Amino acid sequence: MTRSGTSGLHHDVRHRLRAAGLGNLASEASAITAHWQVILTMAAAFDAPAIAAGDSEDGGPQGA
Amino acid sequence: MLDDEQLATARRRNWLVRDLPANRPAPALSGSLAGLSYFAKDLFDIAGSVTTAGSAALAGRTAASADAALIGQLSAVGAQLCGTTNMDPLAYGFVTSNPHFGRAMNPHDPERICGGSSGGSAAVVAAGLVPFALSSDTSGSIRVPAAFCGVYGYKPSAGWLDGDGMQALSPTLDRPGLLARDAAMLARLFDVLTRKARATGGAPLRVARLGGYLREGCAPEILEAVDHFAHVAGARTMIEVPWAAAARGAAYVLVAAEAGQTHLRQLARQAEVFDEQTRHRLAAAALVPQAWVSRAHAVRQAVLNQFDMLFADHDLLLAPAVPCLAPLAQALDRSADDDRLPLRASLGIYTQPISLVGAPVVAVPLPTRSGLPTAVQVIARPDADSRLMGWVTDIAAAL
Repeated sequence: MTRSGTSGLHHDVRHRLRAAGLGNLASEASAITAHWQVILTMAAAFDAPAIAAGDSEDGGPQGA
Repeated sequence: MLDDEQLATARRRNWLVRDLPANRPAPALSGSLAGLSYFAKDLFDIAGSVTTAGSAALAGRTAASADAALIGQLSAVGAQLCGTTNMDPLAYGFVTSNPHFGRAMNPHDPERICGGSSGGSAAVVAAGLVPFALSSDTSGSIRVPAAFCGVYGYKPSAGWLDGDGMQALSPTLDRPGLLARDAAMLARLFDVLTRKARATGGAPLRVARLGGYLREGCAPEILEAVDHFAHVAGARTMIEVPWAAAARGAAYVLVAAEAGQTHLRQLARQAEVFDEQTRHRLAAAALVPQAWVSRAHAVRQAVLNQFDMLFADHDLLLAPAVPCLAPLAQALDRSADDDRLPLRASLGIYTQPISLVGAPVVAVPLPTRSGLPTAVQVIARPDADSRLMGWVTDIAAAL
C-alpha cells in the first residue's frame, strides 16, 4: 500500500471509530489500522460487500 | 497431585494463571476419573473466583457462584482441578503471549511459542504435569497449540460438551474442548463428558486428504508427517476444497464481529483496562459492518452445503493443523515467505475454514523429522463425534 493509501486508511479508521462510539480510541487509530487491514484482507477473501469508505481512498475491502 | 518442582516449572514457564480458592471442596472420592489431576483454561468459571479469561479487563467482575458445567462433571467423577492456565487475553489470539502472565514457553523449546489461545493448557499436558486439560476452540485455539506442543486435542460439534460457565469470544463458533496426553485419555474423557458411546469396529471408514488451500504454504516436514499418517489410515485420495479461502475469511470476520460487539461497551467506557494489543484488535473488530456479518453467514450456509456433500463419498477428512512448526517468538511479526500477512495472523489458516462449518475435529499429534511435533486434523461431519472418536482411538494404536 502506498504512503498516501496508508494515511487514507488511518483517516478512515479514525472516522469509523467515532461512528462506532469509540472516539476515545481515535488517537490510537494508527495501531488499530494494522488490525483493520487484516480484517479487510479476510473480508476480501469472501467478497464481502463494499462499504461506504468515508473519506478513505481505499474504499473498503475491495480496495484493500 | 503435582509436586512443588512441577509447579515451580509451570510458573517459571508462564503456563499458569489462577490458583484455586482455599475453601474449594474436594472432588468425589470415587468415580471413573478419581485420582486424576487436571488444569482448566482461564476462561472457565470456578466457584468463588473471578473468571478473567487472562485479561485485566474482566478483573472487576464478581466471583463466579458456581463451577462451569464441565468442571462440575469432572468433580463428580473424582478428577482434581489444580488451577487455571495461561491463554491469549479473552481467547483472541494464536500465541499465548499474555501481557499479565507472560508468554507461555513451549515445553520442547522455551524460545518457541506454545500456540494459542490455549497454550498454557497444551503445555501442562505436553510436559506431563497432568494427563488432560479443559480448553476451548473458536478458530483453532485447541488445534494450533495441540500441534505446537504435541498433544491430542478435541473440538466437538455444537452441544457435545457443555459450555455453560465458559467466557464467550464468538458465540457462533466457540466450543469447549479437551487436550489430552494420548488417545486413550481423550476417549475416557469423551465417554464421561458426552455420555455417548464411541463407535468402534464395523466397516472401515473412508478417509481422504483435503488438498489445495488446506496444504498451500505448509512446511514440507509437516506435509511429510501428515501424508505418512494418511498412508497408515488408508487415505488414498485427495479432495480439492475451492471454498476454503472464503470459509477462512468468513470465519475470521464472524469471530471479529462477535468479539468486537461483546466488548464494545467496555471499550467505549474503560478502554484502558484492556492491554494495548487486545484493545487495538478489539477496536478494529468492532468496526466490522453488519453487511459483512450477513455476507459471512450466507457464505457459511453455502460452505456447509458443500462440506456436507464431501461426506457422500467419505467419512473422515485429513488436513494439517498448522502451516509451520512452533515458531520462535521473535519471528511472529515477520511475514511468511510469500504471504503478505505476518506469521502471527497466518497460524489459523488450516483451522479457521473447518471452524466455520462446526465440524468435530480431533488433532492427532505427529512427530516430524525436525524433532518438533505437529498435528493432523481428523475431521468428521457435524454430530459424527462418536464415529470420529472411535476411529481415532483405533488408529492411535496403529501409529
